[in-house]
Amino acid sequence: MEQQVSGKTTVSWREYTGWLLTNIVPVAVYLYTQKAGFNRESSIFAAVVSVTLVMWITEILPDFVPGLFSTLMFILFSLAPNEVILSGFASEGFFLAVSVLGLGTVIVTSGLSHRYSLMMLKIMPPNTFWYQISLFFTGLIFTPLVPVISGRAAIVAPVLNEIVTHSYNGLDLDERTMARSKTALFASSLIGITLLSASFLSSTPLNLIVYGMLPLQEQQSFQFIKWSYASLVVSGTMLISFFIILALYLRSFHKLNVNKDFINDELVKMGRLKVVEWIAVFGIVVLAAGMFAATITKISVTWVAFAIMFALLFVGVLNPNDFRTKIDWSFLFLLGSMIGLVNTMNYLKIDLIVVKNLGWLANYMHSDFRQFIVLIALTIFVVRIIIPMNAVVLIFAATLLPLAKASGISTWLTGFLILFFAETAVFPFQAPYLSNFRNATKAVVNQQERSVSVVNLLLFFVKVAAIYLSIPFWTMIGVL
Amino acid sequence: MRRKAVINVLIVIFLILSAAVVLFSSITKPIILVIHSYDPDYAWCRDITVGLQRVLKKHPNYSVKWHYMDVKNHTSPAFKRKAGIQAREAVQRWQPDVLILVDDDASELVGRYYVNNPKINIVFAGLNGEYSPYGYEGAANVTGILEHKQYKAMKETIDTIEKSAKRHVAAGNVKIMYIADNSTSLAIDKKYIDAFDWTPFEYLGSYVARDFTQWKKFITEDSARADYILVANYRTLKRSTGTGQDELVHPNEVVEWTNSNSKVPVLGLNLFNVEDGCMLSVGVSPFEQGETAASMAVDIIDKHISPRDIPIRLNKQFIVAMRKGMLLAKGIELPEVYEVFARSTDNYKN
Repeated sequence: MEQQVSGKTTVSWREYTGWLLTNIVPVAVYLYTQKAGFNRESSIFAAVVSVTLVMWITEILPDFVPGLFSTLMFILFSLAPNEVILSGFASEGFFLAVSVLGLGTVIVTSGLSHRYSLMMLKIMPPNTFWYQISLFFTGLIFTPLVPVISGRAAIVAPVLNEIVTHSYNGLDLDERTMARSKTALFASSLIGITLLSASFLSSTPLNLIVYGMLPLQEQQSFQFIKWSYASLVVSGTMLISFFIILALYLRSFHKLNVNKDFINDELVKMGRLKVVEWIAVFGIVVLAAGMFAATITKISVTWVAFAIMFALLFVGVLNPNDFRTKIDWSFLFLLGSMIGLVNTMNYLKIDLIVVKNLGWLANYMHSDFRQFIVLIALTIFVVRIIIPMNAVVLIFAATLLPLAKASGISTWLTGFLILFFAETAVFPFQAPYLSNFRNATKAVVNQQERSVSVVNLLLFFVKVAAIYLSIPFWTMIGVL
Repeated sequence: MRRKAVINVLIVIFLILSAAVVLFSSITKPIILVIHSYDPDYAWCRDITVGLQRVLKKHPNYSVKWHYMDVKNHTSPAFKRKAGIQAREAVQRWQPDVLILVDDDASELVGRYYVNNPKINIVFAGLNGEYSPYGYEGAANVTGILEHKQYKAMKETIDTIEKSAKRHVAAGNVKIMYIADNSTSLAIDKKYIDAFDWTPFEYLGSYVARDFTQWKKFITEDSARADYILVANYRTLKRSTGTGQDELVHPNEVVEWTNSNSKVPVLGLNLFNVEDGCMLSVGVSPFEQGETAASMAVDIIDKHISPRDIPIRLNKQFIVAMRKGMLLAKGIELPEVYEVFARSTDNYKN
């Protein structure tokens, strides 16, 4: 936020505007809502939420700080009983997120993910096509297992770096072909870690936040398996589209000079599968078994996941230091405060005010869902150019989920659409993970930025098509 | 090193034993799945839930799951189909020992699919009419409690009002009219209220409004012919059909408008009518519905009594709710016992 230029500290316009609006907006909102006939509690709620939104949109503070601000203000103004305001911290969604993050940490720190990447490189034939596929599927396989995109980027980026560093030596390629080839590898990696982010409950923190904001009944219904099952047609369409884009736009197929000795050396250095890696595998297997056997065990997947994380702590595989430093506690505080915000809103019946004032939109959702898809896709696409992803998802979810419930549209579907479209990032500044991934690989990959942007733009249109193709399936399974 | 290995073995044994005990406890824990036809904020559902919990909270060893189909707020066939699929998914997910189905839509969209299923026992509550349309007749796994409106108690209440008012109107000249929305449950109720013996009063018949516009027309044009209007529900009234105004009118708005525009007292046949704004209601006790259904579930689980051996019951209890200020404004005075009854069940408003 603050930048040092020639020894002087400069403050960005965004920051100026943010702090200015932080002081003006809540007062204006409070006065406006009082004039509009809101009661005291509703006006204070609106004012507090408006400050929170300003802070999120202008990014003047880390995301979780405004979230905690709202929680604190709700408590100090006694807008609802403390158990309602703090309900997010005692919710199943919160514990599910803690558990998924804990298991994800073990998968990465145990070395399991690195071993998998090396083995894939060892097996694959040495040409760009197969390596594009390898990188793509590496990201894809870890999508449901590592619940943070930057975490998956941290797995895939070193592999990409290894390939690019060791596989182009001695190849007779002109500069343009070389750049195109590396861009294709880069884009395949990037798409792999992001393409199906919305399709698995456990693939991003935002999914877990939206899950936590769903009505309890929808949460029970859309746990891991049903979430992925309901996303099946979307996932299939996106996968097929990736291969089409690979064939038509990212086509740069040629042989590579892969240094298999290097890969073998790395694997030898790692030795045989370690106990911690076995335990990480065991954790994944138990979680999967817990999902499929939930009707027999009668235990919610949340508590199966929590039990796994507890066992990992118990046997010391997830050590206290990793528990403190590798789990994103700031995200968990954001999650807890967001669920509390929604529950406070429902307690104050403000969801009914939202529904009443945006009744036209609720009617629109209900009467013409197909057009609503285009509306929400385009709106999010435009808004995402200026507003960060987290803020967009939180604002849209808080507004549209009550409307969806009122209009009889599945709240899961609405949340899914928000997550799915908000994840589109055409330009690097639109998503921190995109810039991080680029920075992590820029030493060896001189990728063509424009090509990556074009691919992401193409994928946005594919996303709209994928949603339309899913409509008959959603109708068949009772989601729509 | 050897001690470390022993400790590791002990840790593993502890974890396995803990998991085994928890799994055993969970697998053997009885599950009751309550499927409400409507939504949790609807007073009728809320009070049935209160009744259910009065009994079920004494059984902490049960795992009780709740599912709301919300078909009162969304009345289209497409939504009902979707709600049915989701509710049946909940049944598959929880595999309950007892499935408590509240109101007709739950039996229509869920119950009929599990008739004579040897693994699931069904207890219904709030069925307005017969249970045979859902295949429950003679079914081995079904019992429950019916919900028939308290027309006799209402007739006696009107008689009491007439006598207290000392209007000296011959009983045969007192006319009663029933106005309803076109919901599933009221369509079933209609034949019962029409068939009820209202003598010595004159029953003018039932009027079913397809939307709020028609409801208003009934009130302004037809209600003057009656001395009392009876209402039960109006939650599925759309503002105006065929004009794009498909949103449901809030119950408070319907009752407020009706009170303001009706020339005669509007009395409710459901407890929640007073909560919506009516002056007086004599309604089926939702608490009895919940308590009875829960007690039947307990008998099935704890006493291993087959639903076939638990007779289907008809509701017996009713509850009076009143807004005294509105009654007095209309010149209606009721014996003290009505007020005491309403107060004792927390259904009295000034």
